[in-house]
Amino acid sequence: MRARTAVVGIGATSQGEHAGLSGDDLAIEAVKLALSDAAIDKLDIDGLITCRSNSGQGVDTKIGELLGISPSYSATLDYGTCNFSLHLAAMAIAAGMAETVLLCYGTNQRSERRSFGVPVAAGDLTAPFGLVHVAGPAALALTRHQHLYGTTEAQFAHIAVGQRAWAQLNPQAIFRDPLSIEEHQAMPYLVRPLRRPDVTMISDGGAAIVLTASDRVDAHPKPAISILGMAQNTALALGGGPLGYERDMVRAVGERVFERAGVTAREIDALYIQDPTAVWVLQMLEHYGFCGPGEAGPFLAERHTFPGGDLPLNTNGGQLSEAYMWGWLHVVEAVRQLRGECGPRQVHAARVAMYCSSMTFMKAAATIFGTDA
Amino acid sequence: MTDLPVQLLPSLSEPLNAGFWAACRQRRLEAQECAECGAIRWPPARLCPSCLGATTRMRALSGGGTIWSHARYERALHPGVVAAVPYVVLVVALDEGPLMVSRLTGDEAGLEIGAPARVVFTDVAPGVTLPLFELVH
Repeated sequence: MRARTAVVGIGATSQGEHAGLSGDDLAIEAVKLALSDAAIDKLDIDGLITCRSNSGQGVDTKIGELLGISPSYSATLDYGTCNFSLHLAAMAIAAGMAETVLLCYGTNQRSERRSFGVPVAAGDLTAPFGLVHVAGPAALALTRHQHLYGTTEAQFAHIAVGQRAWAQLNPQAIFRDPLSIEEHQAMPYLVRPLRRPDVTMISDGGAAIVLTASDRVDAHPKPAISILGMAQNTALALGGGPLGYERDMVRAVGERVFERAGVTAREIDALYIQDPTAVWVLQMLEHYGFCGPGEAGPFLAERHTFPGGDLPLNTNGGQLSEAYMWGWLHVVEAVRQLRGECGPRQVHAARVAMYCSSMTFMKAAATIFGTDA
Repeated sequence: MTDLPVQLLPSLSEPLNAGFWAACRQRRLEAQECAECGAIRWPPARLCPSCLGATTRMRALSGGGTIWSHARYERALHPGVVAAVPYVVLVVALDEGPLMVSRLTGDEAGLEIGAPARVVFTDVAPGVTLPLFELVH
């Protein structure tokens, strides 16, 4: 069968502000929840993959010490988006390096007042002109999309507004106040054409996942959620410069991941697109073929991605409304939806979910999950 | 927070970029050119990404190009740009091909993708000259 690994445990702390707790504290809190969810003891873990936070926490050697475990295999990924950690775990299992891998990420970037107004790639050649914060490249990319395809700001607003509508159904989401297209359009610009709701707000939290070999899922009580396919691609040669802002390297990920999973875009019941800004969502809807090239604006305005629509998107509220957790909560939500645990926001009969992410303008990855082995 | 810069300035002594900034100081827009295959390197690099040649020379650029994209910062997202907002960041497609990040100077009227632009050297701090761009009408 397609699936060789499956998620059998998930854990997420409350999200928002956790003054006095470190990133590692939050990661460990999430680990406890994930181990409990998987109904296993920490000593049942033989692989550990951690994600290093912006402030340098989340290193495997430290997390292992805190947890009091000495797994056969451990590693730290130095950058975010859960896809990369998840793929490494699945590869470790497929290679026979481990059978049950614990993954975790924690951050206290909000309570430590970490600044995200940092220069982007080639800082000395960009920051002196004022190109700071990821909102800058995102706004530059959106300006091009508007110019090339006629995408309007009101169409674009449907990303933040649709995700807010989902967040209102998610008690864990930080931002749950109603948001209409009109209210969104009345807000001042941050970096024109982007407004505050189009850019993620920094938050504290932790998340953890237990991934195991498909032939071992019976040891865990919750429904196993299989990884049906995974793929990556890079644009390392572009060095993070403007040629990567439109993220063309994502298209190859789509071709690979759908083929490996044996499904098409039309078969995705719930879609998760990691969203440091709403522009990433706009781009990936097109690059993965959920709509045609240049057609994301009109597609969004038809509200396919809203509650009740035929392409539920970021049903947790995403990073724009739920919390900023480098995609880890997108995976947690995808698993909950496929288990049928989502209450008022449950997608009816969800069997296949997809999580798409990119790391700056250099790497892209996607994973397709399913209830079938 | 007093240790944060009031202005975002480049390092003039960083070896890779020093030649570029020195040329700007003399009001010339220049980029590295591979001495082996002739490819322009932008941003500056230790090796030619085309042929991996290590030798390089500076070559003059026309200083002209077209707007590839633009974004108007209306909020200061870094303490170093508080005095500058609002301002327009540009990506300019230079006549020679590379995409260069810069900032608009002068009138915003007519700002759109594809509009022609040209470099305007602007002294911003002692020893620091930035290549800003203005629209060509």
